[in-house]
Amino acid sequence: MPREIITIQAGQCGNQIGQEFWGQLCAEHGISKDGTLEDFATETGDRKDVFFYQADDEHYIPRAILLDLEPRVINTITTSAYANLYNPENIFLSKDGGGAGNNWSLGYGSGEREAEEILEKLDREADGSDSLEGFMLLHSIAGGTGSGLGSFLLERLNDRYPKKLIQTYSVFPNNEEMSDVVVQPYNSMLSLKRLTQNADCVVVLDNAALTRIACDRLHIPNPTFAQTNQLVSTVMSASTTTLRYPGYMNNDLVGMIASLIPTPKCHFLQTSYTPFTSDGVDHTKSVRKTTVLDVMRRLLQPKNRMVSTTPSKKSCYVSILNIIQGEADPTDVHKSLLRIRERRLASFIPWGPASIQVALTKKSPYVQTPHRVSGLMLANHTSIASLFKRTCDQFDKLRKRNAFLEPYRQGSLFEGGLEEFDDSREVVQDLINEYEACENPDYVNYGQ
Amino acid sequence: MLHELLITLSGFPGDIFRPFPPEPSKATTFAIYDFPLLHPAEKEGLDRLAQLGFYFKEFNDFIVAYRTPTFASSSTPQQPQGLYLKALTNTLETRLQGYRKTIIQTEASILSGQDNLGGMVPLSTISARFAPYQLVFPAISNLITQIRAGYTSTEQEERIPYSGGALIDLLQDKAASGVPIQKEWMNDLLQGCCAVMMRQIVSWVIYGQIQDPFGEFFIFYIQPTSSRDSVNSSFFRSKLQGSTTTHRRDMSASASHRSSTSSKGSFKWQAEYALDDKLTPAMIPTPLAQAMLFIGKSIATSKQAKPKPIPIPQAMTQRHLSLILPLVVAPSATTFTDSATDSTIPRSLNLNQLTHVIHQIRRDIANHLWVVVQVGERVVWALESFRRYFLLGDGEFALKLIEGLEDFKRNRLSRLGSNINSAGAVSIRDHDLGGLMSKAAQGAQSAREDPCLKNFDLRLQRPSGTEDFSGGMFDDQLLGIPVRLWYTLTWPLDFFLTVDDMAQYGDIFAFLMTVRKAQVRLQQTWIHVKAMAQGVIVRKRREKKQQGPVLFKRQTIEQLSAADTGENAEEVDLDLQESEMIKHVGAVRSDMAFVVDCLWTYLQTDVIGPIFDTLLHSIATNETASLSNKMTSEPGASTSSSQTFDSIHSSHAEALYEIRRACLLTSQSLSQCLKDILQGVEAFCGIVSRRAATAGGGGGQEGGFRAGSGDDQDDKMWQDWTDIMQLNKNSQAFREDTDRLFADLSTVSRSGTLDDSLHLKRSTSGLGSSLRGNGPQAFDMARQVDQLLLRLEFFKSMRFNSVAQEQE
Repeated sequence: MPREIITIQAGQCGNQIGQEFWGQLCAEHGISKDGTLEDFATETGDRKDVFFYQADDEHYIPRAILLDLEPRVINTITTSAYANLYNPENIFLSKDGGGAGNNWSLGYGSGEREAEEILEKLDREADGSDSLEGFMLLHSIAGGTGSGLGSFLLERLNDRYPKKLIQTYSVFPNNEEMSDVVVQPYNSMLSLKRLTQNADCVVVLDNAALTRIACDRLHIPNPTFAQTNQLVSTVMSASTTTLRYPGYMNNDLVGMIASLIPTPKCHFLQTSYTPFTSDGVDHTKSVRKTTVLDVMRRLLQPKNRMVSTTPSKKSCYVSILNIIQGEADPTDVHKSLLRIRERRLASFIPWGPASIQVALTKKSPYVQTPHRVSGLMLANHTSIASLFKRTCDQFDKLRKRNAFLEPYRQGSLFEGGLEEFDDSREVVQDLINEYEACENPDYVNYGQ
Repeated sequence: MLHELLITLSGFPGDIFRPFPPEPSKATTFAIYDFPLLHPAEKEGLDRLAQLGFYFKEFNDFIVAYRTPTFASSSTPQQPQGLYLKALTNTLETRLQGYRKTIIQTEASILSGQDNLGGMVPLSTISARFAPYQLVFPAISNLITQIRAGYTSTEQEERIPYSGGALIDLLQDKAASGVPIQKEWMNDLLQGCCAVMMRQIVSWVIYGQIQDPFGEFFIFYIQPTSSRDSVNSSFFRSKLQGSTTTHRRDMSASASHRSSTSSKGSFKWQAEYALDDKLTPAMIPTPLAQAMLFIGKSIATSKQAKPKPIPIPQAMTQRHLSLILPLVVAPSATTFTDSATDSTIPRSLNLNQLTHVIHQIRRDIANHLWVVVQVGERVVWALESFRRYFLLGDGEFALKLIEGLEDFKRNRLSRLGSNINSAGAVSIRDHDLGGLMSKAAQGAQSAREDPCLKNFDLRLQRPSGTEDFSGGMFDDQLLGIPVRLWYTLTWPLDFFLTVDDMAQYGDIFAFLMTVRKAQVRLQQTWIHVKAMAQGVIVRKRREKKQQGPVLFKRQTIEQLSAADTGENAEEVDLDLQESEMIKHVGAVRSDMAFVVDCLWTYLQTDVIGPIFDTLLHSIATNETASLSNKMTSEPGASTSSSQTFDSIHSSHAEALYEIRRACLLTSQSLSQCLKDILQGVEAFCGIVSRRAATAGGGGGQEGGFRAGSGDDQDDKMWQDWTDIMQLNKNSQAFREDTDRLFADLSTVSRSGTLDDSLHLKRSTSGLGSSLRGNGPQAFDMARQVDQLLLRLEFFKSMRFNSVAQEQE
């Protein structure tokens, strides 16, 4: 009776990340590309059934649902080496195959149209698990399918499975430079509303930061999507190690999320990971010092954070969870905590107790890394508000001019007008306010 | 006359020499009563010689009396017995041969005229012949009187039965004499006794048998009178031992002693043989005695091993025999010629050599056990499984078990009513709990195929008659009734672990489970909170759909202005109120979760992790060391590995104690504090989930923290109100509890360096005493507490401190 997690990958970005993610999981669990167990994978003690289930013929099949409105990415997957890994019934392709055209409204609309088929797949997967813990949605919020269809799914899942967790890995657009998708702010804003209201935990990933990390850390001048996606998949697999390699800590998703999210609204998490290695890039400057302290200290450095935020002076951590993989000495953890406190490397919210929680986990025995320990930080930091603010600013610019709104009016949600936009803006503004309030000592008053 | 003297010297009174003082009083010597021909000086000289004769008679009496111990001596209960005494008399007898010879020689020389100086034998010649004995005999007589007195004294306190070690001690004491000849005699007697002891040692150390009919050996077999369950096992030594030794077996959880020698489990390894301090001669140091005990125990136990005996290989026995036999002093074997000539033959017990040999044997035996019986492997194996299950290293299993217990509690106990503590509650059987265990094991993939698990079982803690046994403080937290996890020890683990250890593990298990359960409950509460928060949003959306988007927009504007007094505004107000409430509940929850999370990570990462790692590491290194030692078998280089078995045993006991202490279980007040906190968490979660349940029932329309409106909801409002009050009280109490914990911990931490303050004495008396008891560990404790404190107040010291200051 594992606590299963069903992965939903929506849109181009979601499916690409998903492909990397499943590749990574297979490697870590010793599952070959067609789903059979490798001969060398003899060690027990890992829990494959959180993310995989076994068919009658010993094949491991990912609990994944692949959704897209255009066939390109999914076709790549079904012709790749991993083609036989997935359950073909779990792949949904829109019949017209036209895609969402970077239009949130189209994505959402096609979701409504195809709801029955998509939800049937979801229900089937959910029924197939003994004690479903939650869903994991992989998508980007800038395009059409990932954001639109993803938003639709968030709402529906929330209605249908109110007691299950919904965690998303949401890729935010690179909003430092102008993107080729002009309506990106609209899509982001509309998605953000759903992420705020319907998701339980959003791991924010930011294309700008991912590119920056690929450049700085891995020394790739012009990183491809595959390379940045690999970063994402590393983070994803690291964040689920405690679930897949059971230890005494965080055996379930809720344990991890609940310790990170004090009040339901503030559930946007940032991540850092160190040290990065990438198969694609051999000439990475090797990070030699990988003691627990080094890892924990580097995790706190902004340049390793996978979100570009502009923290203000008041910005602070709401909570931190460090997942340290590998042969870490438990006594080192205490020393590192002491050191970090001495140097005041992290500042925390003033209204409640908080500290760096550390979970030590095993490393996959099948994946060889040059580092003794590696670490992932999941952090709830108030500076995330700056990211939303930027989105809001860009949104406001477009909205003031009422630019590019016409395509959205076709969606059913906008039939009665464009209030949905303003409502979303409102919700996101609330969120920003909430995070800013978090920085004040009187955020929570007891006994009133 | 001379013959009269010689007869007297042989110990027989005659006409001239008669016992003196005469009849009614007790004779102390032979003396010439009435012989006027003698010069007073001559009389004195003769009397002095006659005294020797009396001593000799006395010795002979003693020898006769003590040499043949009568087994069926019911008529004379005070009849002293014992191999050691027998050996003593034997040696004395042998020694006295010299005296007899001297008498014969004297007679011969008198008769042959050798000593004749002009037809008469001068008294001085005879005196000269017996001069050495003049020095020795009084001392021996003293000794004998002392031994006699030890047995026959009527005063209870003065009675010291000189047997075994006591006799050896006495002899050794006497042998430390400045008079060479006295020293020599006493030494001889001592060696005579030592020979007996050595034989016993050899039999014990080589064959694991005790050859000790009179209960004199310092290692003894505990009579299996105590049944398995009886708590106080008192046993009776042979009647020679005046005092009955009672061993207190304190299994109570709060008991904090851990000395491996003082607590005796009811298992073979610990319980069958023991050292008797009273009978251990001073010449055998305690470590040496312990080593011997270990060897014999190992041999005896491995011979009686349950599934199949694992005898020590013949070759090893032979080797040991050849090692130890030369050391045995055998007076009968060494031909006694004359005290002057045999100084070349090493007749005294060489303690250094003995120590060396014993350690060598011990190492061999330990290695044998470790390697052949593979105790080490199994111990490591068992310890790992303990860590997984007792110490909740296997989080999945624990989670499942908690789930199972919760379900069980809901289904079963609710039917029985809440008053479970009454005697009628035994409708829950161990069987049910066993089912829970296996169900939990089925659930956790890692535990499903674990063969260790079948040794674990949950047991109800029935209120037993013995008051000694008090369960741990947290036993009742799992099901509401005391339940403990036990592990059935099997061979060869009982070599290593005792029931006491298991009980301690059970304590820790109950505590950890309580913490873990609180953590799980808080996580469930998180889901409730988030569901309620989303419920508000869902409701809003539905309302929006009903009212239409335009109205909705107006509403939000109204919300901002909050001026309108219409129904909508009220509705919005309620929504706002509710989300505020949810936010507060969430914050309180996260506060609690923080403390519990900190506690949990502290326990697992800072306490159990390192302690167990070092323990397993030390076992592993010991094992490899002993293995390599067996290969090279170098005697000098293995002082550390020779300690293998017992050192691991003691380091395990230490580790266990360490964990208990770091879990704050050894301090009554601190664990009470923790219990309060965890119960507060439990209560809080209960309230929230109740509210969430009503919210869920209403499909998100009612319940939650939405205050009721309207007359028909008066009851509901009242319910809401009390719930909210309860929550507030709860969070207040929680904060007070954590502050108390924090203050107490701080004082403990400070006391690590600053010694005691009044505060410490007040709040942490239990811990304080254990801290002061032993120096280096006190430092350790402070370190561990510091680790917990660091986690609790990671980035600011003012939060808790400020509260503490306010209180003061």
